[in-house]
Formats: sequence, structure tokens, C-alpha cells
Amino acid sequence: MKKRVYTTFPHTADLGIEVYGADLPALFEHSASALFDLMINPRQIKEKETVEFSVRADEPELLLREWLGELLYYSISRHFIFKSFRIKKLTGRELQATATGEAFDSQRHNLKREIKSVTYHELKIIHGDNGWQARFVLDI
Amino acid sequence: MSNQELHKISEQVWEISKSGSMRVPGRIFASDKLMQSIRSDESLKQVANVAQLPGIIGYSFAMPDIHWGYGFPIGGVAAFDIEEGIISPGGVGYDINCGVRLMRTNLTLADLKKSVKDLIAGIFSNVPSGIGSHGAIRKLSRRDLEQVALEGASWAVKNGFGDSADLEYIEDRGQLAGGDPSIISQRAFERGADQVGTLGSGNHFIEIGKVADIFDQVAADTMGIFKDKLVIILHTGSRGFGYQICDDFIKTTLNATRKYEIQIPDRQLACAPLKSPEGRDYLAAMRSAANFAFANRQVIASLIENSMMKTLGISPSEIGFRPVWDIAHNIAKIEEHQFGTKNTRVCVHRKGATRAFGPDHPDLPEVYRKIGQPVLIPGDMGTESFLCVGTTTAMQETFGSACHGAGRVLSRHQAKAKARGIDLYKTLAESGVYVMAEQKGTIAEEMPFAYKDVSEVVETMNAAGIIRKVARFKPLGVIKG
Repeated sequence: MKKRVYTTFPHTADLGIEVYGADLPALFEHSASALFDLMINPRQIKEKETVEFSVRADEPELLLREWLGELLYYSISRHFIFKSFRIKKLTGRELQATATGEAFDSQRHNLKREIKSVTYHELKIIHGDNGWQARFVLDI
Repeated sequence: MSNQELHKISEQVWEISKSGSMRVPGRIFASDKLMQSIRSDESLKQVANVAQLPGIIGYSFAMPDIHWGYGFPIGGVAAFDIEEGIISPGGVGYDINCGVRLMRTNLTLADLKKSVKDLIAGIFSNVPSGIGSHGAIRKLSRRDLEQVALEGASWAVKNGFGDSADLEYIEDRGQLAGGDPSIISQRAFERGADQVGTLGSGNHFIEIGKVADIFDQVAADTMGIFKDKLVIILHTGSRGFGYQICDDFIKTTLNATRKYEIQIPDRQLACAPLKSPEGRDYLAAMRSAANFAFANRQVIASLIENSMMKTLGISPSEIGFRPVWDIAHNIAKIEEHQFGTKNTRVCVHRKGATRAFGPDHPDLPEVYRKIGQPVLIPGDMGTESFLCVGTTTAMQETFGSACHGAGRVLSRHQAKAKARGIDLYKTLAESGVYVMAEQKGTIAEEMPFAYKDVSEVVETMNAAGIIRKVARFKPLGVIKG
């Protein structure tokens, strides 16, 4: 990741993440980058294949969780890892996006940790003077 | 949390006064020393949050190994009235029926013709561990997995893993009635298909230890635990099958929370009335995942026994390998408890807490009915673990529940930072523990300094009368997931 777009905050059992973005699409893209950056060094991933995602939820925070949850499910069930993300459409209740990466290869890819799920614990999106900020906790 | 809200009511017991939307007070078992670390994170706030849920009875409890979780604290226990109460997937956690199995053997270190290192290496090659571990046994079809979800450990026995006599030594004989595969998502089946018989990662482990001390000779004899004999402790759960079921049902119960107009202070506390279709469905799905976990531990135990036979070149009767007990520590159970003067059916959520039924409970196998239910409390990988039994006091005070381990004191990130520059393998070897792991990072996260002092946790519960100490184990070799 070229620029640090997220930080982790201490959480005793799990992993707390704070993500920043100039606007909501950037926040959603950076959240996805953070999720995968915590699993694997992105320099190990080649951008070979692009997958389309379409997600709906009742609130922006739930939409963010759904987006991350879908990426994680795809990654685990298809043994696939993503490097880059592009939000094509984002409203308060709907997201259309693409994610690009490649199939997991244990010879080249060194996973840092298993993420069981993106939890709903203290899940927040805040709009401040310096743009947007999201906060969530990963179960690891 | 201020001193007005949190006050000490006895040497081992603290109370959070009922305030705001809390329906009951909070009750925390802790020594002064443990309370210092408990106060350093958000776990007490989580105890108070759980106290706000509808139908909670008595107290929102926390065991001495409590630490900050998501939604419920880890080390939290809460019982909900069967008529008025709720059930919450977040109150069970993602790793449904994460639990511990203790196995005894006839062997001492002196009996081994090979080293502990050889034994660990043999098990390591036979039991898949680490991130996304898979392929211990053949990939299961949807039909097979449905049977696993219904039959639990007995599915494993039927398929050649272990012996039917093992079932006697598992909580609920390794099979919760009322599982229902028809309400489980295809995603959960996909994630579970190749994971039966795998350890997984994080804090999951297999440990070979020796019996270092016996505190209660009668109970130890009853359990077949003798000084200096080798024991094996296994810690794992329902793998991706359980994670996905939790994920699916948090969504379902978030909608139910709105539908039934339940006020919750954190989305992760999403819940549904026990009597609602959503609540009943979650209970059935959770039981299915619990059965998956019981099957998983039964298969892994059998793989461990096979590894030991192969490495040592001896027969099963010479090893004398059998389960002592297998316990769930992330679960919700419908149980009958005396509350006040009457018997009440309740749904007890234990999130990072174990059942600890006292003597004479009808749910205990005949062999343990006099001594009480075995309670397994593993410590960190470098120091010690404890075998205890549940008590009558636990039945009266905590809905038959006790602590589940040492409890984290450092976050994984802090533990990694502290481990920087330390030769972890050497440090553990110096304390007599040989460690193997798929990922070195896991060892850093799980170093002894990341955890509370397990003996302080156990002594606190023992002094409060919730459990009684039976034996202490010293680790010799560990496989970390």
C-alpha cells in the first residue's frame, strides 16, 4: 500500500481497524485494502483477474460490513486474494464494485493471519473535517 | 468504570450496580490483581451492555479470565428466561463450540522411546493446522456434512475415528439434539467441507503435558489422572462452518432486533426472542455447528492417537489413550437451574466460559456424578494448565459456569511488538516446552506474556468455591495453529 490509509487500534482479543478516506468511495476502497493488507503483503499479489461485487444493506455502516464480508467470503471459499478495489457505484444502501487479484498460491503467498469475520462491534462511519473515517473490529 | 458503579462485595466478587438500561447488576469474579488488568480494557462496559438484554436473569456474569471481546465480553456468562428472554449469536461467538478436550495416557516421559519433539512432529504432520487448514480426511459431501451437523462426535466414531466408549466422556455425549441442517446456508457447507479434522489457527493448539501435581486424589483417580503421566490437551472448534453460521445469523438477528423492537447498545449484541422463529432457527443452526465441533475434536483425537502409535511403535492398550472430558466454551444451552426458590428453564450463554456442573447433576455421566463435572482450564503455552471440577456453589451462583482459560492481557499486536527481538523458540525451550507452528507470527501472539497468570485465575475461582482444583499439568510440547 503506497500511503497509509488505515491504522490498527488495540483490542485485547481481536483486531481493531480505523480507515480514512477523502470521500465515501475512497473509504470503502481503503477498507478493503486494509482487510487484505492485514492478511498478506500486497506486493506478493498480482492483478490477474477482476471480480464484480454488488451489495445492498439498509445503512452505510452495514453496507461497509457487507462489502468486506463478501470479499472475505469470496477469498476464503475460492482461495483467492485481492490487491486493488474500485467502487463503481455507491449510495447509502447499494454498492457496485470490482476487486482485482489472483488465485492463492502457497508457494508465493505468505498469509499473515486468518480473519474469521468482520464483526459489527462498534462499527462506525464518521464524517469529520479531514474527510471520512470508518472503525471496525475483525475477529481473528 | 467509576468506583461508584463497580464495587467489591467479597474477596473474589465485584459488582456493577444496576444503572441506566441495565435490567440486572453485573457480577465479576476477580482478585484485586486481576481486576487491575480487567479495568484496563472495555470488558466491564460489555458486562453492563449484556445486562441490558431482555429476559436476563440474576446477573450479567464475568469470569476472572474476562477480556474485551466484541458484543459480549470473552469470559461472559448470561442466562435468559426461556419465555421472556433472547438468544444472541454474538453471545456465543464466531467459533461456535470452540472447546477443549483432555486425553489421558498410561505413558510417562521415561516410557517414551522417542522424544517429545518426535511426538509433536508426528502429530504436526498428521493434523492439518494453520490458516485455512484443510484435508485431514476426505472432503465431505453436503450429505455427509448434514450427518455431521446432526450426529456430532458419534458421526466420527461411525466413520472409524475413535471408539463409542469415548462418547461417555464428552459434554452431552458430543451430540446436541435439535440441530437442523436445512436452515444452514450453502456458504457454511462450502466452508466446512474440507475442515473436519483440522486445528485451524489463532489460539488453537495441541499440547502434550505431564501431570505435575494432584490436588484432589479421589477426583484425579476417578478421571484416570496420575502423577507424571502424559496428557494431551486439544483446543479447537467448528472452523469455517461455525464462523459462517454466526455471520449469517447476526444478519438474521439484526433484522429481528428491529422487528421485535429490542434496544441494543452494540450491533454485535443482535438477538432474537427465544420463542421467535429467528431465535429457534439460530438455536438449531448453532447446535449443528456445535456438533461439527464435537466431530472435529473426535476426529483430531483419533489422528493424534494414530500418530502416537506410529511414532512410538506401540499398541493402543499400551498408550491407554482416552478422553477425560471434552468441554464447550462458546455456546448457548437450554438448561434447568434453580433461581430463587423455583426451578427455571433458561438459555445460558457461555462466551469464553465453560459449563461447571456440580456433583449429582443428572446430565453428568455416571462415572463423574460423585465428583462433579471436569472443568478444563488451559493456561498459556509456556506455563501450566489445570483440571478442576464443578461444584454445588457454581450451580447456585453462576448457573453452573466457570472460567475457560488464562484470558488475554495483551492484544495480539502488543504481544507481537513485545516479542520483537526475542528468540521465541529458544525462550520456550528454556522453560522446557518444544513448539511447532505453521506461522511464527502465531507464536509471538500467543507467548505467555500475552496472557494473565492462569494460576491466579484458577485460584480466584477455587477460592470463590465455583470450581475445585484437581490437578496441574506442565506443558512439554505444543503445536500452535
